[in-house]
Amino acid sequence: MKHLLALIILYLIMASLTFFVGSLPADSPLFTSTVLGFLMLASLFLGKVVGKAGLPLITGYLFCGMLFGPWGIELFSTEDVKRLGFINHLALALIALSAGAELKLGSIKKLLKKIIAISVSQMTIIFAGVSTTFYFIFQSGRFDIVPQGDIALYAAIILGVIATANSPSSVVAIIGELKAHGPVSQTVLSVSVIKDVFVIALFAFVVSFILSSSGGLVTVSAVETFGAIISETLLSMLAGTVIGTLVIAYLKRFRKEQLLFILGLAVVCSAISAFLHLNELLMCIMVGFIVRNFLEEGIAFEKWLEKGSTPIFVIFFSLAGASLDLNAFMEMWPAAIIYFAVRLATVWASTSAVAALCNEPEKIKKHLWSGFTPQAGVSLGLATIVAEQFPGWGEGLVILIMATIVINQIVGPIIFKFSLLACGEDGKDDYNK
Amino acid sequence: MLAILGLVIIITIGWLGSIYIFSKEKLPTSLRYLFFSGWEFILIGIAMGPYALDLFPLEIILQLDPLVHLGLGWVGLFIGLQLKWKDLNRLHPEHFLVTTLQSVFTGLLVAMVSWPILEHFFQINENTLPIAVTILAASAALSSPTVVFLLSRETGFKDEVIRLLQMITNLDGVISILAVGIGFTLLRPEAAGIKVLILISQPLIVGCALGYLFYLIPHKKLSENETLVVIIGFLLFSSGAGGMLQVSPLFLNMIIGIFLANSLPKNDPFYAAIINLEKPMYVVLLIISGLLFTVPGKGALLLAFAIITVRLGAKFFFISNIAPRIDPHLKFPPKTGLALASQGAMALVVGLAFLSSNPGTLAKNIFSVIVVCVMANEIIAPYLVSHVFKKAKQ
Repeated sequence: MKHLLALIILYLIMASLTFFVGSLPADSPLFTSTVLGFLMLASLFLGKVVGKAGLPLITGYLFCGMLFGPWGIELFSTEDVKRLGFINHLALALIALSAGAELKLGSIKKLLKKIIAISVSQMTIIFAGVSTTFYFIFQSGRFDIVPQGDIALYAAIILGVIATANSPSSVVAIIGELKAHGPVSQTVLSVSVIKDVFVIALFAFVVSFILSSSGGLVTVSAVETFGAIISETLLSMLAGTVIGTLVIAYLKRFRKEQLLFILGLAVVCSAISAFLHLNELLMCIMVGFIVRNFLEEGIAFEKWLEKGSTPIFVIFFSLAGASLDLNAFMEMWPAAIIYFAVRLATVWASTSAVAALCNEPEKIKKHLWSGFTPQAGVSLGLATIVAEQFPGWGEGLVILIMATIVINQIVGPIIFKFSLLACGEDGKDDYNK
Repeated sequence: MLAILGLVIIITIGWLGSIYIFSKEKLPTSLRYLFFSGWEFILIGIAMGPYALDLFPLEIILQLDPLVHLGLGWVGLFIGLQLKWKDLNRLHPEHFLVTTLQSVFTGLLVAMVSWPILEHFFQINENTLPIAVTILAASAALSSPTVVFLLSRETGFKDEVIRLLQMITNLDGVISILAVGIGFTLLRPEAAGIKVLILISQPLIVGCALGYLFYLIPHKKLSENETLVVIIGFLLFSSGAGGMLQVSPLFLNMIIGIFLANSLPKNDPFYAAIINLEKPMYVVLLIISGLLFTVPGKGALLLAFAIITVRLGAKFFFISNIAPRIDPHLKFPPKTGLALASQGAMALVVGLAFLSSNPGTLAKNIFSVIVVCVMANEIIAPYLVSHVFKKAKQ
């Protein structure tokens, strides 16, 4: 109740400020700081309020961005969100470091076959299910999103690939919130992280294929693209291993200033990946993985990460909420609901099939699929490429993808949190036992 | 992406620096004193800035503004939190008077010297001149407790004089922030007649409202990480809001700090969290100051030299000659006033507050004068404090 009261007072102060100081240019650094501070506080308060209702904290952060952002009461604009975009780089690095630190070598060894099986199963079944459904929808001319004919096929293929993407950031946030550990959380995290690499590779391959088939401007062949992605992946992993080893060597000698250390590590990784054109996500995951698993006191590192990343996580998800295109949802909601439903069904089918084949316990069979429902960063990034690469019909498709991400990102974390609780994988439950 | 590169360098050096500053016992004494309070991070900032390596073009520096606002807010809040009514009541009124008057005395003398130099050597209009003088005087009037604290800890020297020095150095920042806050308000063009009262009450009302908002947050129900989110978010919000209302962020956050110091329970987790931010914030502020430094012209160098001399002379004279008249029981060893040489990050923050609210060539020049003064004072302060300690021991 106190959090709600604090949120209302904060909003009243912010609203009065924007009302009385209307003449201040929006690009003023003062306004940027005020918005940043407001978002951090309001997201935390709203997170606490929705947390009382049993919903994930990140749902509160996302709602905060949606409520006060450009698609809500417009306390700040799309331009303000873009101006704060530099935080996303930092946040991505921290999320990836946390994801890597969550991956335990022992568990991965145990779960490796299952991880591969689920990844393959999901990429096949989700891709096939979504592509086929939307091919027929587009061909029937319903919704009038893309033209019929070859383009309907291309658009359906793209939707199929993007549907296979997950949201490791949401998974990390939910696992962190519940301090969850167990087969479901470990498998979901491992598959989400590993599969995203393949999704990006598959997407690049598909885009090259469509461009070459449709007579578009192709600068490199599909094989070259694939080769480039493989080499980028390997180099990113190598760089991550080297940085991780250096971090271990450092941490063996010094243990001071954890907050600055973690932030410094995140920005160094982010800058190196940009400078060497590496995959930031993968490189940071490797760093986190190496340090967590090969440093004697890797658990301490995990705790540092948690401390350093909380402020960034709050603002990251809040900005993500502010970026969710609610206009797109309003425009395309019937098609988006179909996309969401087909994806949900195929995620369930592909995951449960593997769980059944592996003779998993009933709890896992029932709940494992839930962690693959959230979708955010990777899908948004791929959607942007669609708009760039396929002018003319790509824009309509992007609106559909954005609208579906809105649903997936709101519903996904909630389903996953309740599933983890149902499996008894929340740290609290374990502690009580 | 450039902003990220900027952040990389600042945070990495800040992190390494904070380790280095507080653990350089292995260096020989003379060298350790030279880099005692970490002023060299200003040099590192200068080295990375537009005058040397140019790793930070202007657009990156502009994007780092939230970091400046965070620093301003943190310092204001930190100072305000020390003003707990119950603790202040325990101080001798005479000591309090000595602290206040030495600060005012130094500030006035520096203002008197700065005014003609600014008028003569700087292209400055008559509206801006009083603001610039107030900023220079406020930054010169205060002194930093770091050198006194570190040296007394290192030497194990405990004496009444150290307690007094610590009290003075902890509290004279308040006078400067007050001067900046009230100065900012009074020098606003619309400040005339009854409106002055409204303008002065504005930061007090906003500060108390924000303080109450912070008070409302159930701190004990937050995890350590969430407390950090609240503090960072709150400082950014209050500093930004203060700036938007044309109120000094430093002053506004000090009001908030005073409100909280007198309303939050002693064991509130918020105190520990804000203290934990001290070292990283200190180093980051020094580096940012170096980045924003512009090479001073002849006039600026002259002004810096005049301020350094007058400031030290004023502090020395006041403690030696005036303070004993205020409280005859005060028995300061000779030259005790010299131990107030250090200015620390506080003085830089006063300059940053000016630069942040009045970006322009004049503000950059004024800020650079403050940076030069701080560097010079930080170099000599450890030797002077050590000398005063020796005299006190005798």
